[in-house]
Formats: sequence, C-alpha cells, structure tokens
Amino acid sequence: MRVPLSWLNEFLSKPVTVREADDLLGTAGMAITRVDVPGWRSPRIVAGRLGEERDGTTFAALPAPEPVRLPAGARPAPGSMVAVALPGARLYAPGSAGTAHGLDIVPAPARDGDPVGLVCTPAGLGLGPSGTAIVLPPATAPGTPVAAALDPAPASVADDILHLTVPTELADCDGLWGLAGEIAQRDRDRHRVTPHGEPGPHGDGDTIRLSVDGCGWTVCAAILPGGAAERMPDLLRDRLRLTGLDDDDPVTGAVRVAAYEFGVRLVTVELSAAGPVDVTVGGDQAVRTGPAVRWPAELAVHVAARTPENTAPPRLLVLAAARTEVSADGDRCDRAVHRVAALLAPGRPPVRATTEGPAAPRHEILVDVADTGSRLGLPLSTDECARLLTGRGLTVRAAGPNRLVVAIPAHRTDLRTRPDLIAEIVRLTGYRALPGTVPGDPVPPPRDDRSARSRAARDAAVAHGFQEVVTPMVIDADAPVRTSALHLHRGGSRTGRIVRRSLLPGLAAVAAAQTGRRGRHLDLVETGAVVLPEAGDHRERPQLAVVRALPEGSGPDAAETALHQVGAAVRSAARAAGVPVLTVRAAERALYRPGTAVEFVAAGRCAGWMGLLAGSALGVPGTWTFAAAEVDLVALLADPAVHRRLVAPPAQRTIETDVNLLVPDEVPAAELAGLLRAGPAALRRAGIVDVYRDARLPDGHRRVTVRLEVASDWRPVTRQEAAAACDEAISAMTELGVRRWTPPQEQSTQDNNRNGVIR
Amino acid sequence: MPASPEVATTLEAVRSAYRSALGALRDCPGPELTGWHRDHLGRRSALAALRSRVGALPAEDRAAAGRAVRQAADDLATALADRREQTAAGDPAPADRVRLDPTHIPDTPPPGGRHPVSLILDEAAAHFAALGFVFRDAPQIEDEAHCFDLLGVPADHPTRSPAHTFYAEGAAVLRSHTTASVLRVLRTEPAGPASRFVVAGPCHRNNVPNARFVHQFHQLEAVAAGPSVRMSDIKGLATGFVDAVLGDGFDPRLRFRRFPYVSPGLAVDVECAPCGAEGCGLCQGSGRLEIMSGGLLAAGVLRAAGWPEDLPVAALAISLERLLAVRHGLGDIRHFLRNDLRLLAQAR
Ligand SMILES: [Zn+2]
Repeated sequence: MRVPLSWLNEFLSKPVTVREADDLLGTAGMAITRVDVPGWRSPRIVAGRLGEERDGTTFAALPAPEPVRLPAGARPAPGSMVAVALPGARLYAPGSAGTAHGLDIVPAPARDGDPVGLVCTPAGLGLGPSGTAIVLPPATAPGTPVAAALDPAPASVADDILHLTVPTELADCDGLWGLAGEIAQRDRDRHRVTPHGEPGPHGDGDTIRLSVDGCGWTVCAAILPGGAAERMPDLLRDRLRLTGLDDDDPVTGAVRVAAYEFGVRLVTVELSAAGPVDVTVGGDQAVRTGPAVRWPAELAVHVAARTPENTAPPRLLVLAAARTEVSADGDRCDRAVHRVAALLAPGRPPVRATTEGPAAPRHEILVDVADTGSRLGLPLSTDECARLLTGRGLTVRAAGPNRLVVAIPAHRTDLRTRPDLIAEIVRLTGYRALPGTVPGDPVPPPRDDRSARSRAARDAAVAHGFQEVVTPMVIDADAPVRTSALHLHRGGSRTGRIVRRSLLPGLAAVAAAQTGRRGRHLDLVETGAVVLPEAGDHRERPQLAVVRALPEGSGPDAAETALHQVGAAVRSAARAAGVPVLTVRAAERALYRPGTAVEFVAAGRCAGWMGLLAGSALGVPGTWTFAAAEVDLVALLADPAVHRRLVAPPAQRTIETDVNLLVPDEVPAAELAGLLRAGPAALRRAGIVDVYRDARLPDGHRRVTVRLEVASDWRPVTRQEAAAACDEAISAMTELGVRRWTPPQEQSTQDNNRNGVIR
Repeated sequence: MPASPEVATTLEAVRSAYRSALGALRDCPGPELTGWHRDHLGRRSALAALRSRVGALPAEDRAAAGRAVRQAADDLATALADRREQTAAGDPAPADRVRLDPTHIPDTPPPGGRHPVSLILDEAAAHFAALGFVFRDAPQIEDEAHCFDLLGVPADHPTRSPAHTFYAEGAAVLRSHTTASVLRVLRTEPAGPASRFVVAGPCHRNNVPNARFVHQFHQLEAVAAGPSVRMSDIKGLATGFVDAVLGDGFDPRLRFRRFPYVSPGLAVDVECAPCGAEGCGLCQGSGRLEIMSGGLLAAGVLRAAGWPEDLPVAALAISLERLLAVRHGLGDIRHFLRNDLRLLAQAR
C-alpha cells in the first residue's frame, strides 16, 4: 500500500512525520518498507552551475563538472544555477501517462559519456506547472541539496510516499481511516478525524430497502442523482496517481478514493428505473455492476425497482461493504458512501441505508493474564489487558480471577490460540513497554568444538600474511572444477548454478578482480564449505584454502617460493588447530601442474593437497599462476587436538651447524628431512632452512641448506664430535646423489658464516 | 583553570624552562653536569626567576603557580641524578651517538588480515559466549522440512519459490536463514531445563543482488530455552548486543513483526547510519534498517523438534552484513562480498 503522508495526515488531528508514522505503525506490525521522497525535498536533487556546451554535451558543476541532460524548452544561460536530479532521484510526473505511479526515476548512466543527472523543471520538483528549467539563487553552493537552497521553503506539494505492508489479518488497517485509528490508539495526543465532514442523517427510510444475507458483513447503500459527475479535484487526482490508483472515469476515481480512505469494498450499479428500490446483498442472483474495488465474491447484488417507470439520466446506486467488526469502527461503510457522494454530487447529501447481515460466529479464547505477563516479562493487570483488547474490535468478559474470555471476530484469522492472543497483546502494548532482561536460567559451561579449531587454523594462516576473503558458496555452472557438482535448480535465472566443489576458483576470481596490483603477488586464505557429491551425500565439508596468486611473468623461483610460503602457512594452521605433525608426500592430482603437487598427511590420513595451478584451470586468465593448498578440515581435525608438549632445552652446550648440500632435483626435500631425522643419535634437531637455485650450480641440482644441532645430555660436545655427527648424517644421503656443496670460486669461505655456532 | 592571564603566562614559562633544561641535560657530557646544575637549577636560572615572579601573582593563584615551579625543580633534580648515574656507568659521549630518525615509523600494515564478516561473526559469537551461549556447527545444505515446512512456512509462500531460494537435486535446499539450523540443533538435543546456543554462518537467497539483498549473507542466531525465559529477554539480548557492537549512539527500535515460526515475533531496526537516516538504497528511503529478528519459537516448531510445546524458547537472528554496513557507514552490503583488497586491507 502506497500512502502519501499528507493524505494520511488529513485523518489525524495533529500530523505525523515520516519517522513518527514509521514508529507508530511499525510497533503495530505494519512495516514501512520504503519511503520515496520525490521532488524538491529529495536529497538526490542538488544545485549545479551550468557550464558551456562542449561537443554537444552540457556540463554542470556539482561541484565537479558532470554531463547533464536538459529539459525541453528554454535553455538557461551558462553560469546560471540549476537543480540537477542525480540517479535514483524521484521526480513528479504530473499528468503524464506511462510513468511509475506518477513519479519519474532518474536512471543511472548506462554508458561512458551518458549524462549523470537531469536538470529539473518546477513541474518535476513539484513546484508548479512550468516545464522549463528552474533557476536557483546564484549564490547557492554547487552540490547542496535543492531543499536547502530554496529559501523560504516552498508551500507546495511536499509529499513523502510511504510503502506500507498491511498484513491480511489486519483488515481493519487497510485504509487511511484504519491506519489513523492504529496511530491514535498508540499516541494519545492524536485523534482520528474525517477531513471532509461527518455523514448526515440517513434520510427517507423507504427509498432503499436493503437486506444483507452475507454472514458477518455490513453494507451501506446510497442513491446518487445521475448525470455528469463532477471532475475530481487536481490534488486528489495527483494523489491517486501517487498511490497507483488513478483512473480517467470520475465514478471509478471517486469509488477508489473512498475505498482507499476507509478500507471498505465498494461497487456501483446504474439504476434505470425511478422511485424506491429493493436491494439484496448476498443473494444468488446478481445484476451487472459498475466499477468495483475488490467487491467480495460472496456478496452478489440484486436490485429490484418497485416502480417500473424509467428515469433519465440513470441514477447511481453506491454500495459499501465491510466485515461487521471492521465497519463498526466509526461507521466506515456509511462514511465511504458519503465520501463517494460528496465527490460525485457535492452539496446534495444522498438517501442512504445501512444493514448488518447475520452475525458471524466468533470463537473464544481463554487468557490467563498472570501467565501472559510472565511469558512476556511484563506485569499486566486484568483491567489493562481487557482495555487493550477491546480497543481494536475484540470483545472481552471476565472469567474468574486473572482470567479473561476473548471473543475473536472472524476476520482475525491470525488469532486462533492462546499464544496468538499473547502476541496480540504485545502488538497492542508495543515492545517499548517491555523491560529489557537477560535469560536467567543457569547454563552449562561452553564446550570445546571443532569450529574453534578451524578458526584457529584460519587465524594462523592470516598471521602468516594471508588475507582472509569470503567468497560465495553458489557459483555459476560454467566455472571450472565442475565434475560431479551439486547442481541447483535454475529458478528463473539464465545461468545454471552449482555449489562449489573447491574454494580455489573463488579465490582465483578474487585475485584476478583486484585492480591496481599489476605485477605483485597476492596471498589469500578462506575457510568455507564445499560439496563433493561423490562422497555419497550432499553433506558439505569445511575446507581451508591458502593461495598465493602470481601474476604474469613470475619465474620458477617465485613459484617455488610461493609453494614454500603456502606450505608453511598450512603447517602453521595445522599446528594451531592441534595437529602437530603434518607431513607431505608427492602426488599427482587433476588440474595441478604435473610434478608440483603434494598430498598433506595428518595422522596417516590424507588431509589435502598443495601444488601449482594455471589460472585457466581455475577459470581466470592463464597468465596467472596459483600456488594453492586445499585442506579438508574434517580429515585434518578428525582426531582430538594434541596439545604440544614443551621440551626443556639441552642443559649442556650444543653446536649448531648450517651445511650447504648439492641436491639432485629429483630428490624431494621430504626425503632429505626423513633421512636427517633418522640420523646419528647425537643429532638433536635437523631441518631445511633454505633452498636456492643458481646458474653456478651443476645442471639439474639445487642447493639446500640444512641446519644441524648436535648435543649431549651429559656434557658439552666438542667441535670434532659435532663435525663427525654431521658427516655421518650427510654420508647417509650420498647414495641419493647428495653431496656437500662448496662454491668453486670461493673455496676459502666456509659454508656460510653461521657455520659452527656454539650455543 | 588559572583565573588570570598572568598565571597562564607564568605556568607556560615554567613548562618551557623545564623542557629546555631537560633537552640540555640529554646532550650534556658527564664532566659538564655541574655547569648544567648552575645554569638550570641555580640562583640565576630561569626557574629561580619564575619563583620570584610567583610572589607578584594574585593571592588566590599563588599556591598553584608555586607548586608548579617546585614540581619542575624537583623533577629536574631527579633527572640530573639519573643522568649522573648513567654517565658513571659509561654512557657514550654525545659525539658517539648513532644518527637516526626515530620519528619515521613506517606505515605499512602487516600483510594478511581477517575479512570483516568473519571478524564480526567472531565478535558476535564472543559476545554471546560471555552470556553462556555455546557455538554449534550446523550445515548450510538443508532440506525443505527444516527450512520451511517444520517452521510453518506455507507451501505457497513466495520465499519458497525457486526464484527466491536455492534448491538442489535430492530435495536439498541451501538454508535461507539460520532458523533452519536452530531447528536442526534442537532436534539433535534433548529438551533440557536450560540451554543456550548460537548457530552462525552463510545463508543463501536466489534474489537479484542490490544494496540491501545479496545471494550469500551471514546470520548469527542466538537461542535461549528454559522455563524462566521471557519475551523481555529477547529485548534485553537485542539491545545489549546493539550497545556492545554498535555503541550507545544507536537506539534500537523493536517492532512487532509476524513470522510463521515465532509468536510473538519482532524485528529490530536501527537508524541507517550510511545515509544518516535521510534515506538511501540500503534502507530503501525509510532511514531505518532491520538488523535483527526473532521471538519466542511457535508451539508447532517446538513440536517438530520434539520439545515440550509450552517451554519458552527465545530466538534472535542477526544480519551480520547489515550490522557491518551500519558500523562502517557503508550504504551497500555488496562491499562485503566483493573481496576488494582496498577495502579488506583497512580491516587490519
Ligand atoms: Zn539509509
């Protein structure tokens, strides 16, 4: 329902602002979903200084110069201050057909060079009929909203249009009269009023004999003189257009105005015979009726003239119907019929008749007031409860201490059970009346959980310098990695969609979409769910993906470094999640470049993969390369977290030595690390600290620096002992083709300057 | 504040004498410290001159000014003693000092950082954890029963159409709200005397993305069950959360709103910060933004969960992207989906 605020305010003794209307109606359960502020009050209409025309385009300073569109008609001189409506602004379009509810919405520029704004006319701003551009005071600062530039504020139409959703069960709120009633119920300063006078006496009781069969309906009928109907006032026509209800036919227009104002059903019947008529509503035979506004299907209308002579011009029978409880709210049907008469034949109060149909059965609900109060956390007295409920058409009787029996009218389909009635009591008191409390029951202490470990893993990757991103789980079906994916129904969209099988395409898309990062790598991490249908069900699996995106032109060294960084982040993530040992073994995997992939192994089970992927494998331009790891968090966290035990450092002096090894490319680091771990007993710790490739190294080889720590529990080790232990460890690798590396030109310098540091 | 301008001048003079004396002391080599004492604390020093000026001040200001001069002299004497100790311990002479510029602190944020959505999710979960709410994992891939049927959403409700909800083969539905997960958690655990948990994560709707609605958004839903749980608890949780996460400046408004799975139901709006309540695409002109919704779970939902129908169970769902939009004043929640590093980097 679209409600011009000024129209609603005519029904209140004191006008409400948008904010007050939103507040009072919102509390009552009617959401204002949007508010249009058209014309000069719109914040999207700003002052701009018109510049010279350049190449057929006119610019205006807003304050930066922007291309604008001019209205037809006289062109204001360059330098004059005009009103410019920016995209999204709503302008009045009085009298023009084909616009949305009487408003023009300024479109956003579709192409480069399109005007970004529209120079406004007084008509568009709601300031008068003129169709040429309006000129503002020259001292106005460009860019200020026009509303601030117009001094004094114009006294013309300044309507806010509320978009309101009235739930079907609140039928009594459907119409300005009902909305005003809800506002008045919640704000004692405001009263509901009729702006166009109260209906007078009904008149000659025999002119219309009205009988109503419809169960639970009240009907009011009136006979209006025939002939040319009055033209509707311009203001009312403009308002009807804003509500989307305008019509060229004056009778239809009047019927719609009355229905809109009073929330009743209306229909008209042309009477060709003169004299008194018998009208039956709810019978099974119907006459052809004129314009109707949602006339109920069960209320057929039958009209019989008691005298046969014809009348010219034909008279008009107007019928208004509403549920009896709704109509009882201030004689709505009578008021609606009176309104139609005042619009079509002003100054001639018509003869009217009002009749109630048979009463509809009401069902009853027993309310325990004390229980209601404790459920809401709001102490309530029985009197207060009864007062609230009777305010909006329910009837209430006492049934013992703290108990009320509430009779529910048929149209309140939302009130069936006791909880429904408790909800209605909250609706009537409003949440403002409720205190704010916190749940008071004792609760068990929080438990450890897998998601906390997942979060710890992600945080560890972030601490490694990887940026967390959040990408959609639903992706287009033409994205890569589409083998056996969970497909979604199209639901009207052109492209098919699937649930992702991997986080990597999303991460690749993020990398490729970044602007202004030419030539720099990008580190990203995400935790999220994927679905692997081959696992037999559609259960999602949480994954951790760590990616370094390398732009075009990154060499093999950069790729290797990238893999090392990604791997280090994954290992930290595993450690943070309580998985102290994560090993790797070489593996081949689809989409990964051959020879670059490894499998992560935790507690003997595969927990993910790492390797290099081409951008094309992930749906982005092939110039990108990705060092990527995917970790299955279910597999990684299958075992309970192991809290790492701290080991006391050796009490005795240890000797730490960095040794440069020349290693054939086909010998993986994992194998070297394994051999070192199995080395001599005196070797306490051993690890790879650096990998280096250089043209000076023999072909097919790389330099690997290992750090070896030699110690004894009982005494300081000597340099000779340390050297012997290192030699033993290295000799175990010779059968793999590994040997110590000394640069040919720099024989005199040692392996490096950390060699043989005594700790 | 001092009453007269002379007092203000005197106090400023004391501060300036103190600063210059301290500066000189820092650069003073050990053998010349006696000279420093003469120049800055002796009878001819600036402080001594100021001490005599104090006597000329109006009577009511004399005490304060005198205190300031005494304090400055005491502090300088302490600094001198410290400096003497330093030089005795072999402090390098000023000439040996390293030349460096300590004022240049590189403004490079660390690489890597959290996503704002996941940060606020953690923040919200931590807020509720402090109130005893346990985090429960729940799947995003649901079935129609949990997403709609058991929650009382009628079969012809528009949100159930494939134009609004993602359906997959095998009657799977991507959850369009976390309440589906609430029901799933309730079904897996017995109705205890009291229980509190949160479920959170991505939800999915097949709508046309705009400033207000997107395909994938994040919700966190807090649930408290127990015989003493009341509707007012939801108000307390909602207003407490807004105060904690957005600050005092936001006045949450609770509005009656019907949902099929709660009775009574409510929605919580705050002022739309991006537009200053003037109206924008995010709030659709209304100046208000709905950031939470909830209520007491309806009897039908509790029945479906196998819980006693009359046990009060309060549920409050929070839209995290909208919360972020309000907190950061960004009038379009798509910013939180685009993963533009120029935005994400600011969250570090
Ligand atoms: Zn806004």
